[in-house]
Formats: sequence, structure tokens, C-alpha cells
Amino acid sequence: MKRKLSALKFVRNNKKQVWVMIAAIALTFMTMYIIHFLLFSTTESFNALFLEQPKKVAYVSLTPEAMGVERETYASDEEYKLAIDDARNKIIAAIRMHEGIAGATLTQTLSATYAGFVGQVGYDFPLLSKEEIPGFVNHMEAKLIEGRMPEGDGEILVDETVFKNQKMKIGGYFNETGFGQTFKVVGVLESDCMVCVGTPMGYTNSGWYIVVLCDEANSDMTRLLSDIGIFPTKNDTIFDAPDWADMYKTEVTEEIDTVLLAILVVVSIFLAISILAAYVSFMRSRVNEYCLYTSIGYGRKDVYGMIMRELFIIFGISILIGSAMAVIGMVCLGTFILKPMGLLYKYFYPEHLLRISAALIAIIGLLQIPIAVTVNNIKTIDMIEE
Amino acid sequence: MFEIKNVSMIYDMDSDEKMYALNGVDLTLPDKGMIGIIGPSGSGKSTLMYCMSTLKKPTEGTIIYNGQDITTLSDRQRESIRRNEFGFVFQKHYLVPYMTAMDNVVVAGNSNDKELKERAAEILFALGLKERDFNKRPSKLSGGQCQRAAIARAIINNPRVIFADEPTASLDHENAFNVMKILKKYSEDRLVIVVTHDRSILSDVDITVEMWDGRLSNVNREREQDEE
Repeated sequence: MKRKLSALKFVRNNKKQVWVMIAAIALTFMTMYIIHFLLFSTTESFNALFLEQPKKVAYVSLTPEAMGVERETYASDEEYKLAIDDARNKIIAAIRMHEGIAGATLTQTLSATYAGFVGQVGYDFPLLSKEEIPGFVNHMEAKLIEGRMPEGDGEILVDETVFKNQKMKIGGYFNETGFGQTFKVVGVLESDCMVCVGTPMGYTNSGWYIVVLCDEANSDMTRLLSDIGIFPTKNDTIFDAPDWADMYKTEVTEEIDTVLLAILVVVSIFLAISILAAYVSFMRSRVNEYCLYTSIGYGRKDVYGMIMRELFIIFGISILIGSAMAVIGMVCLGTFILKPMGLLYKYFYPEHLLRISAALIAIIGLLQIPIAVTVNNIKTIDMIEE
Repeated sequence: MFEIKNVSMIYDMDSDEKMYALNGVDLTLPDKGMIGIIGPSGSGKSTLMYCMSTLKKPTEGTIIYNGQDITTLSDRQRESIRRNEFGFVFQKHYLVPYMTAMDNVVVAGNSNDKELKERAAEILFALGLKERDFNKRPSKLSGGQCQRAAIARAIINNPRVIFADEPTASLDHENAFNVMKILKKYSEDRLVIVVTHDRSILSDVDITVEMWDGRLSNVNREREQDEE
């Protein structure tokens, strides 16, 4: 019966050396995953805003040319302005008649700010009449959870995540730095897409948009406008689902992904160097042991197998400990930092786990070089004694 | 058991002045008994033992072990023969420093862990180690205890041949005498080959092989004949 060389004996009996290595790998694993968790809380949080909200509401601002109004056709500015209003009203009426549209109205908008763990985003929300607000809230599937609905001018309802994120309070002023003591926060909404809405207070110079209450199937405004004979150009401003999705991809996920990949590569290189150095030193100190094994009848393959099993045990334990540490770290960070910041997050990122696994496999692959050199150079004891 | 025919081991084969570690050695050894190979440093005694134990391959000649020429075996076959038929005691004990005395013995074993541990305990006990020493690492054992653990490792598989290269070199006189007593006992029904330059430890050997400059200078079989 041929026995295998036990890998557990080294792991059990060299606790200091092994635990230093396990700690290094586990901490690196935890750090890589937690960095991902923190950065992706931004992606998760922005997801509601960039991908969910535009499925229900879109903002359109068309140039007179897009609406078919040419300045040269009108003798005076007054006539030209009336023509624009008329064209816009016709477009609004046509949009309202379109399938899947719950409403369309020309309104002023206000800008809310939402800060992620890294970076922040500003987005517009409509200022409607107090009579229109319940319909809008209903369409956005939001629910008033604190405070009251707007009853007078300049009163704002804020989504609870934005409310926490911007450290607002009911009765406090909305964006006091930007608008002074103009808008008051009167209620908090619960929704899955960061809904804010309010009533106007005079003219705030925040822009006028046709606010379109749509469903997901009709959230592409370029297509919807082309259905009614309007063909927007680059000069027209449209904030709709495809536009937000594109921004989300290029400015949020891709950028964060690039940063994460860079961190993963740098951390992996440092980990690989330190593990390589540690492992070469481990193996050097065990040369006589390997020579003994081959002298008493074990083959080089047996020694290689033992080294690999030791490596897998060390990496396996490290990943288990690193995972446990990552879970504890994420729960603490989530509870004490992200939640109070009004950020959304999730714990499980399979694609990132795959990346970390790939990095660890690459490190194990790299370790094959010193292992192969050591195994090939194993002598028998007669050669050492000579 | 061993039939060594015209075995030579040449170093620096490509140079003009070839160096003969062994030069045309012929020797026949029985199935059991204690063989002492003696000679000064560089006489080729260790090389002969390592050739017989398959650790080295001679440049010329044949070594027949149990009817099989072991100089023509593949690496795997040589490993297998070392594993199953031979036991080794080296000049230094070569115990694995992080393993206990017990684990150091078991590591060379061929059967399951439970059987091996029982047998290792028996052997270590018979070799004079106390039970409390079984779980000590080599650094906590004396030189004599380490060498006994190394002998236990060599005999854990009950090998047909034990090769012992200067097994008493690092021991004091009393421990050296005890180690030789253990090997002598084992040689009652197996073959034990001891290589040494210390004639005083070979008082009990059955055959004395003297070497000089890679050749056999004298083979004394008087005791072997007496016993027969």
C-alpha cells in the first residue's frame, strides 16, 4: 500500500509560518472584496436612480426647430413665442395620447443631489401643482412615510434615501446653499427609484421640461417622439431610459469597474510577490525533508503532491477566514456607514468573487515556478552527505 | 541476497583522469546477518552502499538483488524497492523537525495510520524510547533518541535490508553501542549493512568488508562461517 505524504502535518505543526501566510491571504481577500462592496454601493445606489426612475418618468426639452417652428417665419418675437407654446402644447397633447403614457406636462424642475460612496450625481425632479402631486407619487409607486403632502408653494417631498444621504430634516430648507430659504422639505417618500417632487416657488431658473409619465415599454423618448412625427437632434435635451442607462454604463459601472480592476491587479501583484517570497523561504528550509522523502522511496511526484495539497489547504483556510472577515466587515460597514449615508448595497457579487478567485488561481499558478524548481532539484541524502 | 559483479563508479567520466569511487567490486552477501563495510574516508564504502540501495547507479557492473539486476530499474521501480524492501539509517538522523518522533516513524510506513502508529509505538518502545517521548519533536530529544527514532523509521516496514551509513557517528560511546545492539538484533533474520570507519563498533558483525581506494581489500567471513 502506497501512502501519500500528509500535507496536514506541516500545516498543523508550523502554525506561526502557516498562519502568517493564511492571515496575509485572508486579509487580502477581505480587503479586495470589501473595497468592491464599498465602491459598488455607489453602483447599487445609483442603479435606482439611473435605471429604475427613467422607466417611469422622462424629461424632454425640445428646440423650436425640432418642434417645427422657424424664427424667420414670424415677424415678431411675441408671435414666435406664441408659435413655440402652441407647438409644444400640441406635442404634449400628442404624447398624452400615446400608448403607455400616463401623463405629460410642461413644468419647472429642481435638481436634487445624491452622493455615492465615491462621486455624486445631480438629477432633476418636477415641480408640479399640489393637485398633480398625488397622481405623480402614485405613478412613481411611492408612498408618503413621514410628514405631509405639499399644500403651499415651494414645498418638497424627498425620497428617504436622498433625505438620509443629504442629511435633511422635515421643516428644513431644501438645498439652502443653492436656492436659499426657498423650498421647504415637508415629507419623506418611500420608493424604489429615489422619487422627489415638489411645488414651484416663482421662477427658479432650474429649467423647464416636458415631464412624461411613462411605462417601461414606452420609456424611450426618441422613439416615442418619432411616433408622433418629431425627430429630435443633438441640440434637444432628453433624459430618458436609454440616455440614463448609457450614462450609468459609461460613467458609473465602467469607471468603478476600471478602478476595481486596477486595485485587484495591484493588490494581487503585491500578494503574489509576498507569497512567492514566503513560499520560497518555506521550501528552502525544508530541502532536507524533501531529500529524505525521495531517499526512503517517495517519488518527486509524491513530494509535489504534498506541496500542492499544503498550498490548497492554506489557500482554502485563507478564503474561508477571509470570507468570514469580509461578511463581518460588510455588515459593520453597511450598518454603521452606508445605511446612515442613505446608500443601497448588497453583499454577494459573484462576478467579483470569480475575479478574486482568478487572481488567487493565477498566484497559485505563479507559485508553480519555485515549486517546480525545488522539486526538480530534490536530491537524495547520499548526495547531500557527499 | 546481493550479488555484486564488477561494479565501478566513475566520476568525471569525460575528463582524461577518471576518478574511480568504486573500481571493479565483486561481492556476494547472504539474506541475513550483519555486514560491516569499513574503510577510510574516500575508500568508496558509502558509494558501494548507496549503489546497493539504488540511491546511486553504478557506471559499470551489475548488482543482483533477489535475482533482479537493480542497476537497470526505472526511477519508479527503484523508488518502490527502496520503499518496500529497504530501510535507511543515515549519518545524521534527518528527522523532520516539525514532526513528533512518532510521526517521523510513521511517515516512512506503508500501511494505514492506525496500524502504523501501533507498530511505531512498539518499535520506539523496544528501542528504549519512553511513551512520553513519542510526541516530542526532534529538538526536544537527545542525539541518541533521535537516532533511535531514525532506526524505528528504517524498520517500520520490516524491510529485508537495512542500510546504515555511519549510524553512530554523531553519538557518544554508550549510545553508539546501544544502536549497534539494536541493529544486531534486527540482523538475526534480516540483512543489515553498516558502513563505518570506526572499527570498534564492528565487533559483532558477521562479515567485514574492508575497502581501500574503491576496491575491496579484504572480506572477512569468519563469523558467518562460524555461525553456519
